[in-house]
Parts: sequence; structure tokens; C-alpha cells
Amino acid sequence: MKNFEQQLKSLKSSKRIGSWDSAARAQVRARVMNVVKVEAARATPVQSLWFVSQFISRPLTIGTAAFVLLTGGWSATVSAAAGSLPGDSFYSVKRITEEAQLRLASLDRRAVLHTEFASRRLDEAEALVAAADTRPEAKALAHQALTDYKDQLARATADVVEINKASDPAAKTLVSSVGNKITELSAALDKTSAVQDQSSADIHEVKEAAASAASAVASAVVDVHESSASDSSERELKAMFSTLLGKVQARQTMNRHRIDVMSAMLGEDPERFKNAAGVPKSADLGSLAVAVANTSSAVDLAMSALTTGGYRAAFDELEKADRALLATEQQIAAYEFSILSAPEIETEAITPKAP
Amino acid sequence: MYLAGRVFSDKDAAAFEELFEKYAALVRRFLVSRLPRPEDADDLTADTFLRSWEYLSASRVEKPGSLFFRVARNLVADFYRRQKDTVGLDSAAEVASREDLAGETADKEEAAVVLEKIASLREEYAEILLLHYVSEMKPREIASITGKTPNGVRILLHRAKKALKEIL
Repeated sequence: MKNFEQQLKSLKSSKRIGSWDSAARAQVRARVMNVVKVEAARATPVQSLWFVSQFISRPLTIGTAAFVLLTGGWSATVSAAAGSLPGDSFYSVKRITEEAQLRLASLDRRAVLHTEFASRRLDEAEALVAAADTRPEAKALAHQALTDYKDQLARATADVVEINKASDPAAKTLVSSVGNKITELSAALDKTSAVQDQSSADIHEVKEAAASAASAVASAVVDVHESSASDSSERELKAMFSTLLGKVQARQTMNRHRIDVMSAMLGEDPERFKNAAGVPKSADLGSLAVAVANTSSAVDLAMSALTTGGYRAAFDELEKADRALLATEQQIAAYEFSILSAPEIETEAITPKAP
Repeated sequence: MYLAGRVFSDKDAAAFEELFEKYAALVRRFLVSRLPRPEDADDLTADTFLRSWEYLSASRVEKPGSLFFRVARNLVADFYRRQKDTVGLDSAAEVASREDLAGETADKEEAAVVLEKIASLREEYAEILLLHYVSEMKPREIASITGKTPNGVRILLHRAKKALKEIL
């Protein structure tokens, strides 16, 4: 006799759902592809032209770029590489092209490029996680993409700190705008499914690195503001604070929600979790909830400091709250894993009652 | 190379056809479980992919599978809204049972009865059970369609199964 789980799994092959009649499937495919082929024939691939123009405008003195030129199919090659992911055959061309751009760039241009490449690594990690069911190596490649994201973010931050030391006012303007971009990238990390639901030490390290990058650029941008006292640097500071505040508040809400859900699950099925290893007791969840609640006082202090123009203190308090929440998140992920791994209590198949 | 990327950058029909081959059956299975007749599921499968082609060729999408299911979900909602306007029904379960699930034979396939019970659950429980067991989607994939976290999906799935057990 099937158990309940097997009953559910057999739904997909039931008469009601059944298999798709091949003639009906062919009809649907024809209906879709007739339209798609007509529209595809009319379209011009704009993005490949953009890549060609990017490379025509740069002096080709770099060995790898010259190699690509000599092989004759260089514009198509670079264009084909644009959307590639780690593990794809053209991915190495994409990375070589990026390194070539960096070597040609000035310090301020490099800072911008590093943020662009950090953003790409994040997109690649997301795409790889989405493909994990069909590519066995995808998860490992996603982890590597996140490590590369961390590296690009660190290089962008180092560039910003370096630019900050220069006395050129134009360079100082760039510190604020690139600093803002780095802060956004740090906040974007939390929203990607590549890091959600992950409790590995590597992912935690990436989150810590993103938090450190945000803190370092905040400090650089505060320096710029203190030396220039300009309206634009103040605007950038407030924008950065707003991005970081949003990230911290989202983290607070998510952590509270996750703790509530765990409490509800433990309450609904106490027998299942009674003796399961690593499953938290309600006192453990209570301590976590208190830790999350305590971060609100740091957030309040940050906001008070901001209103009185104490930007440095404001960012410091926000960083304190962020790091405390990161630590809580790590514990929450470990508890969730234990709860979800706790064995189900087997039930027999349920014979539906007659209507 | 990444198929959705090729559709966006080159309007590549062959890449889109590969996506169709990969996802069409899964999308159709979801639609069959949500709609009264297989013919309705075929129509909405075609509409799902036609709308998705427009979107994929204009925007960079990292998860085409999630897009297809999001579009399919919206089309199901539109379908029942139109049904409600024309025949004044209150719920999808009523339409489904009117069509061919309820009362035709006394000795119905057990799976058909289970599906009927699923359809009578609250919307988010019914949907998550069908996405997971009929369309064979993993919690991570369901999370990207529904906007929940993967752990949130696993927990919701646990609750949905419990709710189903209570009414079977």
C-alpha cells in the first residue's frame, strides 16, 4: 500500500493529468514557433553591435585582445561570450575581456568597472543556482561566482579608498557615486537566491565581506563630505544611508519572520521534533528574537545621529546592527536546517472518504 | 550558452524552441491540474510561451522557468475571472467539478479525488502542492515564482500537506 507521500508523487502520472497527446503537443509547438520565427526574422541583435563598438574604440595593445583579433571572429566571439556563465565554453573570453578592460583603465574608470563586474558575478551566481537541477556542477560554480563577486567588491572598495586620497575634486565626486553603487551591490546580495537559504561558511564570509565593503566606502564618502561640505556629497551620503537602513530593516523583518515560522512549526508537530538533533527549544528561539529586537536600538541611534548631521556615528551604529543580524542569521539557518532534516513520522496512505 | 541570454541578445528562435522543449510539458501539467479541460490547458500553454517570448526578447531574464510559471499562473487567474464574468461562479473548484471531476462515475480514480480535494484547499496550499507534485518543481524554483524564500516554501508545503491529510 502506498504511503501518503507516494500518493502525492503519483498525481503527475494520473489519468487526470496524464501525458500530453503528441498531436496536441505538436499543434501547440507549431502555434508558438510560427509566431516566434516570424518575429525573430524581423529583429536585429542590438546587443552584439554594442560589444563591437566598445572594442573598436579602445587601442588594441593587450596581448589577449590582439589574439582574439587575429583569430578573425573577434566581434562575434566577444558578443557570444557576453551572456555566458561559468562552465560555458565562451566564459573564459568574457573574463579575459574584463581583465583587458581593467588593464587599460585609469584608477577612476577601474573603480567603476569593478562594480560592473561585481554585479555580473552576482547575476551569474543567480543564473547558476537557477540551473542547478540540470547542471550538477552549477552549485559549486555559483559559490565560486560569489567569491569572485566578493573579490570585485573588495577591489572596487580599495580603488575608492585610493581615489579618496587624491586631491582632485572631480575624483572626489566619483568616490560618492561609486560608493553608492558599492552600497547597493552589498544590499543586493541579500536578495539573491544564491545566498538565501544557504548556511555555509563561504556564503557567510561573502555577506561579511559585503558588509565590510559598505562600511569602508561609507567612511570614504563621509571623509569626502567632511572636506567639501557640498550638497551633492550630502545627498550621496543620505542615499547610501537609506540603502543600508533598508537592508538592515529587511534583515530584521526576515529574521523575525523566520523565527516565528520555526516556533509555529515546532508547536504544530511536537512529536516529530521532540528528540531530533539540533532542533531548537523555545528558549533558544526566544533568545534569538531578543537578539533581533536589540538591534532596533542601534538603528534608532543611527537615525538620531543622521538627523543631527553625525554621519560617521550614524553609519557606525548601522554597521553594528547589520553585523549583529548577520550573526543571528547564521544561527537561524542552522536551526532551520535541523528542523527540515528532522525525520517525518511515517503515515499510511489515506483512503479518501466518499463524497 | 545560456538560452534566455541568446533570446534576449539575438532574438534566437532556436534557443527559444529549446526552452519550449524543456518547459512546455511541465507548464502544461500545472495548467491541466488547474483548468477544467485539457483543451483549455493546451490553449493556455501556447499563450504562456507566446507572452514569455515577448518578455524574454525584450528583457534580460535569468530564470526563464520561473517566468513561464508566473505567466501561466496569471493566465489561470484571468481564465477564472472571465468564467466568473460569464457564468457567475464563485471559485475554480466549482468550475472544475462542474466540468468533469465530480459525479460522472461512482468509482473515480483515487488520484482524481485527491486532486479535487487539493482544489478545495486555500489557494496558496493548492498551488504549492500542484507546483511541487504535478509540475515537479523544487522549493527553490517555487520560491522564485512566488516571491517566498526556499525555506518558506518548504514550510508552506509541510502545512499544505497537513491540511490535505485533514480533509481526505
